[in-house]
Amino acid sequence: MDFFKEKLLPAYRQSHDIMENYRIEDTYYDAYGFCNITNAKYVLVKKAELWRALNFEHVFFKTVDFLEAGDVDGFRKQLKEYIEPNLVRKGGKTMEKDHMSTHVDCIFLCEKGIMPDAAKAVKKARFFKDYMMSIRGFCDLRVVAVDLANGRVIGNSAARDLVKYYENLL
Amino acid sequence: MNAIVILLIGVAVLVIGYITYGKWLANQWGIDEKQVTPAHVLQDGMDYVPAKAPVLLGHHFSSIAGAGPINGPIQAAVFGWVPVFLWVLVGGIFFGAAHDFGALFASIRNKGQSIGEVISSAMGLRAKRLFIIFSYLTLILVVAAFASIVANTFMATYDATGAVDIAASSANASTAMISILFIVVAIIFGIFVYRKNAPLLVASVIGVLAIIACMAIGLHWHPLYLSQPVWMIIVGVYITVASVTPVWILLQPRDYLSSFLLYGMMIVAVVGIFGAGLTGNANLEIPAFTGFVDSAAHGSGVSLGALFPALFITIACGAISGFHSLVGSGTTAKQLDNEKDARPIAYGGMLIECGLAVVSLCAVGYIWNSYVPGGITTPTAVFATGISEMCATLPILAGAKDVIYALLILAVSAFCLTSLDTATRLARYMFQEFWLKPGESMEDLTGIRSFLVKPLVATVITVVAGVALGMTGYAKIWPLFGAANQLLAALGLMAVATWLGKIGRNNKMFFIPMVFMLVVTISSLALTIKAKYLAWMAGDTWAALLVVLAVLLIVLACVLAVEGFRTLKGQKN
Repeated sequence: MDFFKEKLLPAYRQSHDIMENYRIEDTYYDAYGFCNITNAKYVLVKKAELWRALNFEHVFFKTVDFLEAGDVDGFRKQLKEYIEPNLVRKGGKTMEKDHMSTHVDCIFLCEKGIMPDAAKAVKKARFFKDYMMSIRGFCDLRVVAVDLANGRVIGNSAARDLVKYYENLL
Repeated sequence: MNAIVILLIGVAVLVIGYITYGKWLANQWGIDEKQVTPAHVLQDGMDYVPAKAPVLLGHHFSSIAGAGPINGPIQAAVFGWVPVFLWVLVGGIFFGAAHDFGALFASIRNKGQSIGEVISSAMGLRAKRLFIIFSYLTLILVVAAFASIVANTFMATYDATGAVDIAASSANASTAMISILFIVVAIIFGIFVYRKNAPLLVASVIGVLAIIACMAIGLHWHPLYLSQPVWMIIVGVYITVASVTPVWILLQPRDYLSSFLLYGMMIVAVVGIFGAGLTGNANLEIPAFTGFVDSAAHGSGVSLGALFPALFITIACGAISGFHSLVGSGTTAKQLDNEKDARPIAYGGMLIECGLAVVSLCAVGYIWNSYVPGGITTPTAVFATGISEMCATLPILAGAKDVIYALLILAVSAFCLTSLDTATRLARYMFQEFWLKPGESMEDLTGIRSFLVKPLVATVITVVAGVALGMTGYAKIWPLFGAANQLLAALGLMAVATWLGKIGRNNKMFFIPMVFMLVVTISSLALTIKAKYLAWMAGDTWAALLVVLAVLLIVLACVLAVEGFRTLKGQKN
C-alpha cells in the first residue's frame, strides 16, 4: 500500500488544506498542508467576544529513500530563512493579534530507512520563536521521521504527540 | 438544627425537583432524543461539534460556578436559615434551573442560536444602546462587589494606634500570599503545557502539588500587610492586566487549575459536614428565623433591610442569577449531542449550584456565634472558617484546619478573580460597542471615539469605575449589584418565556418567576433609592452616586422589558 497517498494524505485532508508537489525555492515537497484552529469565547452573541486564540499548523511531507542528517538540517535552514518569515509571519514584523501558536511540521517518509546520524539530528532538531515575549504567541518545529521499511517512528521532543499519532497510523 | 439534616434534605429536594419538575418541563417542551441536534445537523468542526454529556456538564458547570452561591447565602443568613434554605430550593428548582433549561432548549430548536443572537438581530438601535448601558452598569457593580470582597479577604487589621495587628492579620495575609503564588503557578503551568509541550496529565499532577506547596509557603511566609484601599488598587491592576493579556498566558491555565480547586472544595465541604455529623458536632448555631427585618447586628454591620425584597436579590447564583445566565456557556447549545442531555446539563448544572449554596448556609450556620459579633467579616472567610472547623472535628483532620482553611479561601478567591476577569472583558466589549454607530467597526473611528475604544483604555476606564465604587465596601454595593443582577434575570426569564411562546411551547411556568423577579428587583431598587437619598441628604456623598445608579437601573430595566417584549412578540417562528 502507498502509505502516503492512500493513508496519510486522506487523513490530513479531513482537517488540512493540502497542496501536492509543493515547491519552496529549489526544494520540492510531496505535499504541503495548512490548518487553522480558532478558539473563542463569546457571550450571548458572537460579536461579544471575550477572547480568541488562533492556532496554525504548516505540514511539509517529504519522501526519501534514506533519511540523512543533511535533510533535517536543510529543512531547519529553510524554516529559518523562508518558511517562518514568509508563511508563518507572512512578511510581517510579528504575528497577528490573538495568535497563540504555529506548529511547523516536517514529516520525512523514509522508504528504505533512517541513517543513525539522521536519527540523532531528528531527535535534536529544535526551533522555537517567541513573538513579543509570548504576547503574540510562539512558533515551533516538530520533526517526524517515519521508517516505512522497519515500521518505526521517531521525532523531536516537540513532536511527542505526533509520533504517537503516526505509530497508530502505521 | 443539624447540618447533615439540612444538607440531606436539600439534596433530596433538589434531586426530587430534577426528577419531577425537570422531567415535567422536558415533557412540556417536547424534548425528543430522536431529534437531531444542531451539533450534528450543522457540524462544522468549529462551533458545532457534538460533545459527550459528562464533558459538556463539566464545562458548563465550571463556567457558571463561582463565588455567587457562597457570598449570597452567607450574607442573607441574617434572616435565619429557613428563609435562605427555602429560597435556594424553590428559586433553584422553579426559577433558575427552569430558566437555564428553557434557554438551552429554545436554542437547540433554533439551530443553536442563542436568545441573545435572536434579540440582537431584531432589536432597534435605541434598545441596543439601552441594553449596553444597563449591562455595563451591572458589570461595573460586579467588578465593584467582587473586587471589594477579594480586597476585604486580603486586608490587614489595625489596632487602636493605627499600627498593623500582625496576629489578627495573619490569616488574611496568608490568604493573599497563597493567592499571589497561585497566579505565579498558573503562569508557569501554562508555559509548561503550551510552550514546553508537557503531557497534560503529568503537568496537572505537578500543578496540584504546586498548589499545595503554595499553601504551605503562604501559611508560613506572608510579608504583605496592606490596607483595603491598597488591595483594591492591586486587584484593579491585576484584573486590568489579566483582561488584556492573551488567555493562554494566565486565564486558561488559571481557570484549569481552579477547576481542581472547585471540585476539591466541594469534596472537602461534604466531608466536613458529614464528618462533623459523624462525630456529633454538626449542630448549627444559626436560628431558624430572626425576623422580617435585618437589624444589622452581625459581622458586616450593614443592614440588608426587609426580608422582602432583600433575600431574593442577595441570593442570586444559588437560586437564579442574571449574570450567571448571561455568561453561562454560550456554546452548550451548539455542542449538545442529544436533546435528552439538555436536562442534566442545564437543569442539573444549576441545581448543583444550589447544592453549593446549601453547603454555604451550613458553613455560616456552624460558626454563627463567631460571625454575628463581627469576629469574621467577609463571606469568603466565613465559608472557609465554617467548613474547616467542621472538618477539624474529624480526628484525622484535626491538625489540618489551617490547611483546609487556606484551600477553601484560595478556591473562593480564585472564583472571584475569574468572575472579575469575565466581567471586565465583557464590560470592555460593551463600552467599545457603545461608541459604534450602525455599520461602523472600530477601525472606522476617529478622534476621541477611536481613543476610547482602544482595549487598554476601555479596560482602564471600566476597572477604575468599578474599583472606585468598590472602595465604599461590598456590603453597600451588594444590594445594588444584586438588584441589577436579578433584573437581568427577570429580563432573561421574559426572553425565554416569549421565545418559547413563539415556537409554540408551553411557557406559562415562567410567568410567576418573571413577575416575581421584576417586582422584587424594582422594589429593592426603590428602597435603595429612598435609603441612599436619605443618606445623601445626611452628608454621605457616595450615596448620591448609588441613587443615580439605582434610578438609571429602574428606568433602563422598564424600557428594556417593554422593548424586549415587543421585539420577541414580533419575531416569526
